[in-house]
Amino acid sequence: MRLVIGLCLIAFGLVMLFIGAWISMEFAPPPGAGWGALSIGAICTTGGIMLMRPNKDRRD
Amino acid sequence: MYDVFIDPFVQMYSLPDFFIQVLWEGFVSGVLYSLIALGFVLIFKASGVFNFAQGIMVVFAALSMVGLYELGVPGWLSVILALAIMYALAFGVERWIMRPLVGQEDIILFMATIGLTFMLIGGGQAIFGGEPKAMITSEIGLPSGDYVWEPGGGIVIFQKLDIAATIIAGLLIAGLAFFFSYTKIGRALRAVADDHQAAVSVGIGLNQIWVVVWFAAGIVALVTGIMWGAKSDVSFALQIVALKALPVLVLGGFTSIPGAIVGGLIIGIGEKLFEIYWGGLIGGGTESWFAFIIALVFLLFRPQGLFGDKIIERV
Repeated sequence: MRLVIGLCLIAFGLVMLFIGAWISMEFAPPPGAGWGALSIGAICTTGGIMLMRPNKDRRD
Repeated sequence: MYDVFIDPFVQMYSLPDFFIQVLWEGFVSGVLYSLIALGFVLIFKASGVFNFAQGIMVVFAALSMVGLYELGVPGWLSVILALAIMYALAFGVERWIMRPLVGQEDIILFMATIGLTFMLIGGGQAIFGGEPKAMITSEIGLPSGDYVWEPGGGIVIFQKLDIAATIIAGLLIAGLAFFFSYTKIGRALRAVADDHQAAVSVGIGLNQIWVVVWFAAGIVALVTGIMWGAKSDVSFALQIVALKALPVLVLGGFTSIPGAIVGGLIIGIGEKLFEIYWGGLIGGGTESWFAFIIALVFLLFRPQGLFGDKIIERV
């Protein structure tokens, strides 16, 4: 289950990063919506990567 | 169909010098993406925490260096002091974030790094201001100017700064590989990465290892900040470049140092080639988002990445 949720989160995060990068394409720094999408994308992608981590290293 | 499948390759063949130029620029970007990804992988391998703050650490390290220079500190000394700041940050993170959270769920540690991100953004803006700053390149001994190569009547320009960035990044990656493979601390770090509890049971100090790892990530962040800052300006928008490390990790594998290097090169060269030869067909500006699409496609076929551990879920 962790694997599936992790994969879905990464995919969703990458889509949000794409949208954020698309919105921000012509602006430096990005506009508010661009930052929002990039932030959500980064959090979801990294959260997904955390979930997909192999169980052997877990401390619990 | 001709414009998509034939014309770009005809252009590559008919203008080989321009093709080499595009490849070189993609290679330089790729090396720098690899460096950012390496910072993520180092901490993820050793502590199991995906360091969300790595992107802002790049900005913070570069801002510290430039900020110190603006206060009148000589260039070379500002590099050393910025390293000292990154060590203090590593020590502080271990002492006040990692240590109190030992034994907690990984996701809590991850959320702590999100908090660290906002602390560094707020702290950085309060100390150094939010305006973009110019990177001090000549003051810290980085070269300027370019070499011109003329193969068969064509022209290829190599910026000396890009050459220096590639060499420094290569040396840093080789140094880290040596450190992790052949030194006592490096081997202890790999033991911690493999199994925290087993490592502690044979007498490896987890706290010391975490300081070393976060400091190594801080060094990588400073070098990356200097190189990217030299290509543009040092500003908080530089965090966006760090986001490119995420598709690099999806490609290369989340726990693999060779994966970070290869993934970075694929993304760097791929996005540059696509922008130049195919970008015009869809309005240009593809360089900012191409990496994310590549990663999405890759995720469908090989979710563990090129070099990542095979993911096995026991029910």
